[in-house]
Amino acid sequence: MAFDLDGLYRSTYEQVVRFLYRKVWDADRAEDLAQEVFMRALAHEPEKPRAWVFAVAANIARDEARSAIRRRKHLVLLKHEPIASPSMGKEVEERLDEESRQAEVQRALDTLSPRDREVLLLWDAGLAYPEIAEQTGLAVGAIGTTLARARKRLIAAHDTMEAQRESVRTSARA
Amino acid sequence: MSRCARPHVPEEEFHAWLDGALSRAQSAEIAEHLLACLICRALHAEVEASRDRASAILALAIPRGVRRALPAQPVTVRRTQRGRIAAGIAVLLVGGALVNQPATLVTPNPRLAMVRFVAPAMLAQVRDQSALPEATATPRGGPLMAYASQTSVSPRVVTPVAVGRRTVALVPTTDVDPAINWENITWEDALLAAGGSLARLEGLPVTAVRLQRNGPGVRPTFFVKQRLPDGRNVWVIEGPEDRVAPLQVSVVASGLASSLPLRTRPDYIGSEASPVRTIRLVTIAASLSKDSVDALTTRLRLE
Repeated sequence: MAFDLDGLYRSTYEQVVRFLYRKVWDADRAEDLAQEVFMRALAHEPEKPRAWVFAVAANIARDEARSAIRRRKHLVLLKHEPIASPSMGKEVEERLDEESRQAEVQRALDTLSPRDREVLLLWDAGLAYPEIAEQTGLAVGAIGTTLARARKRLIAAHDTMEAQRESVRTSARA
Repeated sequence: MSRCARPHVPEEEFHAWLDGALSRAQSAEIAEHLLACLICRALHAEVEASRDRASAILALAIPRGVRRALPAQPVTVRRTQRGRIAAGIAVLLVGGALVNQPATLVTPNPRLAMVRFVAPAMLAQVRDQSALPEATATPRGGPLMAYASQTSVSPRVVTPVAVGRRTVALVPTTDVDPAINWENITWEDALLAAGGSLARLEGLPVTAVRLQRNGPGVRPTFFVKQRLPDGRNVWVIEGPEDRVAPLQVSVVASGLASSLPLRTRPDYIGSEASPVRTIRLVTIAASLSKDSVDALTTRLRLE
């Protein structure tokens, strides 16, 4: 069957960006990396394109994480620059609130083991159990067990963070 | 407490089932087990809630631009039990023309997801149509049965509830526990207990009959298990209105399709001097599509 990049792009682009975003936690970077994934797909014309793009996306994200650690050393000084003016509008507040919620999800995902996290993110990206199994090296029969554990841990970790946020808010009001 | 002859469904299997990763045979087996097992129904609802919650948490982590670009509803439907139910509803909505199709297993169809957008209005229309004249639902050759009004069965949805931060799925959905006080009896004994009149599907062998006694002066509830030519099972559920309606809710919660309930002509139970008028509801449950179980109602006969 002829390789259909256009169809692949349209059907998986958003999931790939989302998948990458949850690995690099930078929207622009996630989109750049997704573009790179599809460029590679064009060059390789893979047989199982859907599974292939997520496998490549996972590899790219891993490389990105390594280089991010190197870059962080240079960015440390920039970290303390003011991020908002005193007259920040409601939109900015909403944005900050959203970012803090996203940070909670990130921290909740970080509590999972790398394998559990990978399975959960691949499932959420729309891959079927056999595709996830192929990519992670797990048996198809083990995907349900892994997902059950991953979901439970994610919820527990997220609930804990939510509770902490609420208690901080309550004490701030008091 | 529920008593199950078979072992309970493991939690991870529910995850796989809800994610649409099990074979048709495995799915049908779980759906059948759920029908009779309260413990597994509770676990099923709990797993479903946990699955939804995990997805909701992950949905918070979507980059802004992409989130804006996403359509309001997913374009495709993952192969899930929810997809099966959505497809079932969709088939019900476009049902009229399909009612006489042969029995087929549901294949979730992404295109049908669109129907969810117009569901409330169309559903109201279908409900109106459910009060069609008796003739539309009359089985050929057998005593008359009429479509019951939808209000008499008032389907309820099993919804996990949030208690504090935890989602608790065990919601008492039925007044009647479908898993207790059931007896396995022969067709002949069941016929005797039913006063000589019991619903079944014509032309299909009866493989088992279960009966739940509802006390003196009240008709028992019956589960008549019959086998389709391809080996799949179908249940004819028959009993007093107030008993069958909650059972039907359980059936739907279990992931099986349930037909529009049929209402029999009144039975008069008790002495001739002071007979008690009772109405029976009959519904069919099977791991088939909604249109298929509805189509099967035309083969219902009262013995």
